[in-house]
Amino acid sequence: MIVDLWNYSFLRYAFIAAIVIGFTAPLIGSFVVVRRMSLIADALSHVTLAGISFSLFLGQYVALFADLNPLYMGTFISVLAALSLNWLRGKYIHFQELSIPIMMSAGMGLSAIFISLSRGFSIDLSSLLFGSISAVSQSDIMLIVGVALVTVIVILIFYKQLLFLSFDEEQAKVSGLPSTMLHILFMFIVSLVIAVSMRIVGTLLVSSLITLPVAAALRFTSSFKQTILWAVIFGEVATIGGLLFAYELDVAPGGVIVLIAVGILATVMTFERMISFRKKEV
Amino acid sequence: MMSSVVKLNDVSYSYDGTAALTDVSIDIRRGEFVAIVGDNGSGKSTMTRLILGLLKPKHGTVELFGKPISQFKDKSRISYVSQKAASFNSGFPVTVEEVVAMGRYGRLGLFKRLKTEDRSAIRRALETVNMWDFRHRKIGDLSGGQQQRVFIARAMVNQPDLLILDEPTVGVDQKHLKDFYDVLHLLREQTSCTFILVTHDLNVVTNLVTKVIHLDRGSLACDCGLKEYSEIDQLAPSIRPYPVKVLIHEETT
Ligand SMILES: Nc1ncnc2c1ncn2[C@@H]1O[C@H](COP(=O)(O)OP(=O)(O)OP(=O)(O)O)[C@@H](O)[C@H]1O
Ligand SMILES: [Mg+2]
Repeated sequence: MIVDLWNYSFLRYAFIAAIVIGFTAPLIGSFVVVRRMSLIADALSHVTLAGISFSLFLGQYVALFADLNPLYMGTFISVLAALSLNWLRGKYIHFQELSIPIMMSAGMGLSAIFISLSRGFSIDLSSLLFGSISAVSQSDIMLIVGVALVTVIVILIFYKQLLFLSFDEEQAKVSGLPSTMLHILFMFIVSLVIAVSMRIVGTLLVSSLITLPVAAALRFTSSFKQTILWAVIFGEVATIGGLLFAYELDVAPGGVIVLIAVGILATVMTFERMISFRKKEV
Repeated sequence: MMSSVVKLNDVSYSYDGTAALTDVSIDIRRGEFVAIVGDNGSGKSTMTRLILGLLKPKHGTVELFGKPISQFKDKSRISYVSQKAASFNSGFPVTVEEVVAMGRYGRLGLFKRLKTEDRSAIRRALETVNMWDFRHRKIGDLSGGQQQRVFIARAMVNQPDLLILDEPTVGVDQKHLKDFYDVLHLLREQTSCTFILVTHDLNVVTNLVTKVIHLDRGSLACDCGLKEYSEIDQLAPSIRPYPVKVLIHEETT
């Protein structure tokens, strides 16, 4: 394995991508989960898929798109969708969650159409849906690292404000935080992270990588910093471990990564029970 | 005369057509301790939310510290404890200390970390409400009354010039209720902070209150000192359709 890492550049790219995403997804995921926006991650990943398949479809006819990394279009559409989600939520004040299935079905419908229109042109559907080790290109890496940098910088600058806004929007407004601006910035980052994560875990499993490590961390942490720390540790264990197994077993990495994340959650919950059981005995 | 801290000029507010506040004008001056009283639904919370800028008046204007609210930028001078403190997600992974620290965020710029001075202010505020020993606990794991005390600490930690408390003691038990009013007394003595307290029980704050604002179905029924307030029913029974006397016990007059 180590030798292979040395020899094959695609494997190196996949590992760099996994390490960076294993960090970035749970980092932003901690905010997504506490703001109860987990489902939005799902909606955005489906829209990203629509963007990617649209770009692939265009690539058949327009030379420019044939050379363009389809992830760019996916990311662009994901950002657009995130910003319009805000607007959709405003339309259905009393049924805000409706905006999520609306976006999700639109994304899935468009993807289905573009993918079937691109017949003949070989699209690796499995890699789009469940991720792939060999699909990570050098330009993907640049995009992934770029997004990770932007995410880390935004969170370093706005950590206090984002935490305050997430915990208590009303108080945050009273303190004069520009809540709308912060919310839009946050949605922007979320859509970026979701778009680039799908390379490794695939469209259908992106939201799991964003939420599962956080869900596990939430079981035992009491401060927000701890939650982020543990979510990132779990995220790294899942992505790195997942990639190793996926390579050895020659299966889609998304599947293994998510299963490891589920395993971590199950382990944490089991330990939790044992500990509370012990407490009762004493 | 002290300078004006809060001024409402003919302010009206309605939620989707249902009027909640009609043509209210008040002027609260520096160092005053104002009690807002009135029945459920009389518009007390609406009034505090207008003062805080969380709602925009449909008519009239709001002024803070002598400036139109739109031009008032120094929000860290104002602190607020809301009526429903338990409106946050109780699973939220923040500690008591992190919550109180949020009270300092308004003063800190981007990038800035909490300094020793912030840390000691946080400690003082938590000690005042007797919650320092709970600082590492998750806020959602505390009882409702304990949570409310933490939110009171968060409001105080900022050393505000205006403290707005909307029924802050809901769920706080008798023992800590006394502690809370002791804290109010202490703040009153040590600072020149202006207080706006929405309450149903004037009796516990009689020796603090300088002014009573009584709302009746969205209208200002009375805006006067405590003494006049207790006598108002006898003074002008005909123009006060709402019996204000029941709100105050004889011994306080
Ligand atoms: N979010 C809202 N949407 C619609 N109407 C509202 C809303 N909040 C308050 N109201 C209405 O506005 C009026 C004033 O409400 P407000 O909350 O200001 O009363 P209050 O004096 O604070 O009452 P309480 O003692 O119960 O806290 C009430 O008739 C209420 O039904
Ligand atoms: Mg109220």
